[in-house]
Amino acid sequence: MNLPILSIVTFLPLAGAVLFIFIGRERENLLRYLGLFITIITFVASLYLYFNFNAQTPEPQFVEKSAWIGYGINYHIGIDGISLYLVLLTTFLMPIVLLSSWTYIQSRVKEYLIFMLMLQTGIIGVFVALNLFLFYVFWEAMLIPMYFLIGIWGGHRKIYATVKFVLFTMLGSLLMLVAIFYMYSLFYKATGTYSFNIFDYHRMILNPNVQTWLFLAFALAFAIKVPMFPFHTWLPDAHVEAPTAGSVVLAAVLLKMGTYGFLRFALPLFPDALQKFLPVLAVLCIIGIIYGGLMALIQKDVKSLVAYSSVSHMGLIMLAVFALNIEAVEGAIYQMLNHGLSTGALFLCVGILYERSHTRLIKDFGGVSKQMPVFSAFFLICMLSSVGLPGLNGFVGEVLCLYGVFKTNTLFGILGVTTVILAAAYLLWMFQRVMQGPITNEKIFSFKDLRVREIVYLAPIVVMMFWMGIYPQTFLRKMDVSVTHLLNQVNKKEAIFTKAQKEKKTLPPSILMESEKHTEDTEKEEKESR
Amino acid sequence: MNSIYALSPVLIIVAASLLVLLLEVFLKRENKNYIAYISLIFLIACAAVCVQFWNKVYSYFDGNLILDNLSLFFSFILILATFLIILISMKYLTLQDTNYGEYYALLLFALSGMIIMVSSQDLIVIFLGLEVLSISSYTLAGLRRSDEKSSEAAIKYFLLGSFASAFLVFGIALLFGATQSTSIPSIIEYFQSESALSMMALVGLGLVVVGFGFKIAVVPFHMWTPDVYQGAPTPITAFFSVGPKAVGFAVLLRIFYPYFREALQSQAIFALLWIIAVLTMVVGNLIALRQTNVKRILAYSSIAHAGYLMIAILAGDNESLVFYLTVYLFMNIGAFASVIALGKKDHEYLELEDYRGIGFKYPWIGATFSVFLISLAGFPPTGGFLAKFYVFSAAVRQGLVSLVIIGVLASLVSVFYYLRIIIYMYMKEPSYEVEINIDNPALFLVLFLCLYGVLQLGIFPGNILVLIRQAVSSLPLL
Amino acid sequence: MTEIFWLIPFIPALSTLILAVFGQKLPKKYVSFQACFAVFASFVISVISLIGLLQAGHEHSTIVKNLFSWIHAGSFKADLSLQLDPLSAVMALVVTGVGFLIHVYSVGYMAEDKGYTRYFTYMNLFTFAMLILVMASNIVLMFVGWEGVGLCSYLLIGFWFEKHSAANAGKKAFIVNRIGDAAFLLGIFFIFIHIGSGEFHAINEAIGGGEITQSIATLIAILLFVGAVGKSAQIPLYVWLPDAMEGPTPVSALIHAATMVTAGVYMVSRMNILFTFSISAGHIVAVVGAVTAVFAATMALTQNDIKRVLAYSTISQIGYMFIGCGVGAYAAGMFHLYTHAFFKSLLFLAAGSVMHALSGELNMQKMGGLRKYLPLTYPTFLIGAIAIAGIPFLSGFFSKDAILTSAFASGQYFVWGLGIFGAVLTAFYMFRLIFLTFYGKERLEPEAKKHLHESPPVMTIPLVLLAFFSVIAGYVGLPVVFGKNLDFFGRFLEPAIEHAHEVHLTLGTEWMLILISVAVAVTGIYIAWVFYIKNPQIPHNLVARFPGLYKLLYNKYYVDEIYNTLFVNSTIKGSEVVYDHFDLKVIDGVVNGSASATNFFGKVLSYIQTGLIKDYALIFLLGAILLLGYLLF
Repeated sequence: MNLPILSIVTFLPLAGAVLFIFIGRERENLLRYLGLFITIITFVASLYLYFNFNAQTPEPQFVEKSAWIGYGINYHIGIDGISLYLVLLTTFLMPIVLLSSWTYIQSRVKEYLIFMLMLQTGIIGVFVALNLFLFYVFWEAMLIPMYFLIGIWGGHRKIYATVKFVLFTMLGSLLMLVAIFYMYSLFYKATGTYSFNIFDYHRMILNPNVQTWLFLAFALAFAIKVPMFPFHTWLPDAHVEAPTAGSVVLAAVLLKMGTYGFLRFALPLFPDALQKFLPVLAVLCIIGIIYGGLMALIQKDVKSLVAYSSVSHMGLIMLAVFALNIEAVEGAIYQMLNHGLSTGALFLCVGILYERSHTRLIKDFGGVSKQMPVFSAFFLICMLSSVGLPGLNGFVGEVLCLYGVFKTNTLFGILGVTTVILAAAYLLWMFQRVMQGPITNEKIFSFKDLRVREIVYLAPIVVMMFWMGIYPQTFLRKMDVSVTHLLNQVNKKEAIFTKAQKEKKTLPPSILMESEKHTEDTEKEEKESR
Repeated sequence: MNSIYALSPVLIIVAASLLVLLLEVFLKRENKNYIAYISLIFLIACAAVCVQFWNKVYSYFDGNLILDNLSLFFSFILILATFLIILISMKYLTLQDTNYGEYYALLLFALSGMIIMVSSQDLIVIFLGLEVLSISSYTLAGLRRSDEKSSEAAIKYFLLGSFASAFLVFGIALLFGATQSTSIPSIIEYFQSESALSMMALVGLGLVVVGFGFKIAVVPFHMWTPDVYQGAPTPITAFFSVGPKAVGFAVLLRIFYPYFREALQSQAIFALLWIIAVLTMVVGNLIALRQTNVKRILAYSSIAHAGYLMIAILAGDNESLVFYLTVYLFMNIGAFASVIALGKKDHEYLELEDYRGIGFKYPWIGATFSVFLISLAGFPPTGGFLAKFYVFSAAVRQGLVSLVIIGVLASLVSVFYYLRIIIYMYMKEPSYEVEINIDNPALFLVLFLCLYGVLQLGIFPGNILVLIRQAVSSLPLL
Repeated sequence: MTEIFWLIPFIPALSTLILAVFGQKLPKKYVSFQACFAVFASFVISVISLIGLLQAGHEHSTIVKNLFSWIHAGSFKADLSLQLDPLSAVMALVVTGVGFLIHVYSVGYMAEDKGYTRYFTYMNLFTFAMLILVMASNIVLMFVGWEGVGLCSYLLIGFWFEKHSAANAGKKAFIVNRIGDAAFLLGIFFIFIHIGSGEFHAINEAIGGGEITQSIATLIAILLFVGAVGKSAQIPLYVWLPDAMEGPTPVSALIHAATMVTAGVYMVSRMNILFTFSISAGHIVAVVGAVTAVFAATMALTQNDIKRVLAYSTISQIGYMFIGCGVGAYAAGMFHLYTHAFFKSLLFLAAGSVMHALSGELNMQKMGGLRKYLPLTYPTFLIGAIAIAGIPFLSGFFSKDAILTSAFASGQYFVWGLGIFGAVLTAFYMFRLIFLTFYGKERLEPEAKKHLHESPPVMTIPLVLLAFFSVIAGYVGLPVVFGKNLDFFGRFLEPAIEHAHEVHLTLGTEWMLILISVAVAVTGIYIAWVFYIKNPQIPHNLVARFPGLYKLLYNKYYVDEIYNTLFVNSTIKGSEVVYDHFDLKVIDGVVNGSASATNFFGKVLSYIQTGLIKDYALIFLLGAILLLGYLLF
């Protein structure tokens, strides 16, 4: 693995952003095409990751590790079956997003593209980082471009929305930072060496009382990002105010950072605390599912409707994550991708409507299908994928999530299934009021059907929806090992700890797992040998 | 070893200032810039000397003046600061009609005072340096004679400053009374020997804290800061926000580092500093929320940062403290430089309202200013983040979790007002024309240097950290 | 030859794909040709497969074709695999056969419509989904078809989406179905948890092997049945079907009469072992079916919209099918499903032809005396009516009789009684419809009368064919009274349907039952004749006599209104309240509140910054004093 492919995928967009600084702001089309080109190249590069991914090992792959600042702060990246798809999702959506904002963004194109590219690097970074410090750096750095994207190109209440977004997210992540410091010092106390390496931390078994606090700190940060009820209120504002592209990235990828965080950190690091809080969290998820659905039902703004639908969907995903069995977790990961595609696509559709009508209020629409048959077909498919219709991607994820949840807790499963009804209700009702019925607003008569560009960026998503719905094996198979490994970690560490507890030992804040004593160097050797 | 070399940095600076004073008489008003150039040359020379002496320990006046790595490092930082200040001043002085030869002379005097302070172990000598610094600072603050705010600042600074000095002297006296010595090492020794400190010693120590607390502007001794910062000429404000603070912390470091290393944390003095730190972070940040004048915002932000630095003191982690100060130098001078950049003849744009749409009208200034603000707010991948990161992680390692939580929440608040400036620069449409004088190469050089510094320290701080480790290694590990 | 059976669903699928992508560019003629041909091809293959099965005989009467593994995660395994056995063969035959005729009919019916291509795309899509439903070899794939047909019915009901009512009806249908589907999904989960596989043969073996308890079986059966109730429009989830008549009439004929709505019956028969194993579940099915049969029939009595009458009659007829399944006579249920497919679609198409003739008139009160104008439509319609009314020697008679007989045989006389009562009503309202439409004096709108015309052959030929089948279809399953082993249909299904408690009635009882059902049918017709031909005053007098009852029936027991207030409006109102007072005020209030609180503290603190030097000095001093005080004490 001499070519640092993962770094390339991560930093190519940033390099592009830097390049853009030196291009005149008046050459807008050059900038647009260049931006598109860069993102496409990035996507192609990321495909290499997919095809050379070894589904047989839970170990992270394409690992790059080099000393950076010291004190355990290394440049250490790699992907496993969980992060692989989130990276792909990001790289896949970025060109689409840029295309979607081709004409929508007319002012300050240069800055816009720069921030978009920075954002992409930030997001990918979060998914590939294996060093907690690095992870946090990307996690925070990603806020800045998003802050500008909402704040500059947003709607009327853009400033309120963007400040709320940044502060709300930071509240969580700063407390998480403290927790990270604490683990850092625990590890130092336990081993005498500094490390932010996730795998080193995975080898730590923490005293449950310690876990409780650390877990709460991590969980808060991630729950805000997801967002789980009751931390969701920043989402509708951010979505409504953000430009289409912003909403798409926000819904499709940013929210996944939260769920990913749970999978990567909160679960394996704090299994006991997790067990302790599982009921609470699950209930919150259930509330989120139903509550989000009901709120979506009565929204007057299409975007906030989709935003609340995200709350509902993400609730289901989190519920599945907490079900802690292979069906559920694979379903959850799969559903993350689905949600990325379908909700992203819905926002794109809303954006298309907005570009023509400059309104997002449902009551201003009606009978649009008559004017835009092609669009209505695409919109319909995206909506149905979000509803979870069999044959489209949504169903596979949903059925796995629900089944997994059902397996661990019948009641939660039954409650979770309500999403099947609610999703149909609010989306179909919205579709009816927007696309069907007689045309009431004469403005709509002037609507043009989709342009080629719009078809070009919607088509790939729809194709993916069908592919993921009809032949999910392509994606599921590469997850198995990683997910199984993850679940083993959670359970194993539990076991060891409970054993220690049974023996009535007074426990230190942390102990190192006896098994797999290999240090970072031996890890490195293993990488080279493979 | 005992050698006259120990004097050389101070001597160079003093010589420079005298020379500048002299030249000021002969030079015509319009080519006062030569003075600036001369000062710069001397500063470079002095910096070179510091580099030369690295890892060599010279002392003079039987150890009262000692040039160890720590003092060298701090001297270097201070010289660099002054260097940047002079660069941003050159155009400013002509624009804002503050063009007096004393300016540079006083700046250099202040610098010499600070160098004395950082390179001495003896409280009396430190006090001498402090006075040199203070007197020249008072004058510098009032240098904009045309502007009564400036004079007001000078008065306030002078009165409160002398007030504080009085406390300091008294404190030193008490310490001497208690320990029969004014040299820090022996005082520390005394503290270690005693099981419980005598009242006199405690009070002395407290008063010393008060005295320096004034210089580094921690609550409740910060009251002068906003007014002085607002009134003083902006380059001078930048200078105040960096120089004296660094020195003050350097001295506190010399006093308290070994002290807390001894894990005397149970002692009241620790709790005291803890409270001060919390107050400083909270009050500074909260009041900053309400400000609409950029200089005042930065003033309060500098108070808040003093709070974070106090955490480093409490954690007894010299390394993170020094690193923080280094980063702080770049980001704060950078911020002030950006503020200065937004000025024209006889007018500075200091109200938030002036900043509407600046970001797109002057992309470069907007961008750099944003970077400095983001760094001050502590976002990665800037130096500001790494600095906070080190301080907080050190504190957690010392078990000061609650303090750190307060710290991060305080910095969450700070995020709001830093981003607020960005909101004005990028997210609000300008309501009126803002014309600025952009023919100012020196200033842009500074902007660039600070930008570089902030990013370098944020992304690849490796080498600096090595130096810092060498610097603090010279601290006594009792 | 039978190996290619798996092609059956995919030919329409392919056609759908082509139409969906290139449809807009293709000429109308080609579109209709392709659409019809695709279905016809599937029909041919179905016939071939059926013959193949007949030859194969009982032992290897089930062929499974596993195309590829679909969802595999942990213990959840579902493949894309189709199966051909008598049950699916019959269904496939019905779907493609009737479907083909209706496609042809549509060519004429939809000729003028702008959405011509869209229509045939949807129709082909529906055929595909329905075939997946009936040929799936595991319950998850069946669910795919199940939801797929739901989607198509949504699309086709809302085909004229410019009409509010149409869009509404489509949405209503989908959501109501979704309620059933949710239960169905839970049923699937239970199956996976307790049986560990979704393959039908596995499920049957598991139940046969007694791997699950009565109670679990009942639970699963009921959950699945709730799904069936939604899809097959039984009480309490039938409300969507009457509204579904907003769609084009051929759609009503194909989806909401012949095929989709009977999917529930098919599913129950498919899971017959489960439903037989759990006795209580069986009872529930029977009772729900019986009650629905009568309930829906009563509502049909007073409707004036020709299609709504047929809709309610469909609901009621499906009720009969469930009676059959409920009492364990799955074959009878399937038999009725199969005959019903013919005569009900015939009735709908005929009704469509009437509408076509009257340029879209639906109200029977505005018809009358049409028989001389519609020489072809009238007789076919009549045949359909006779068939459904249960007059001997037409298909409907045999199937309905089979159901009622086995209901009686199973000893559930209550159910049987309801069935008989329903039969009277059925006969009555069907002939009320006939008389109002084709007899009596003309009550036509002059406008409509102007261009009153019989439909083109492309529409009438399917009518004739369907009429023909409505007559003869019944002869594949003759009751015992006509001799042993004439029930080919039943015996053909045997491998797929294990015979539950086989109860033999004496020939005498059989005859008695037959006579009773014939009698009730005739009575019903007679009453209708009296009411609407002999002296048409009676209905009005009755209305005058029992206004309350009439209003109740006319307004369909106000069920829609009740549902709206109970579920729909309350939910929306509630959510709005929660949104305004909880989400915005409380949750978001906390967020914004904390922000403004912080700001407030800032304000308070900034008061100390007076700018007066004496205050500064004072605070400095106080600070120092407090500090020292703290140090000392």
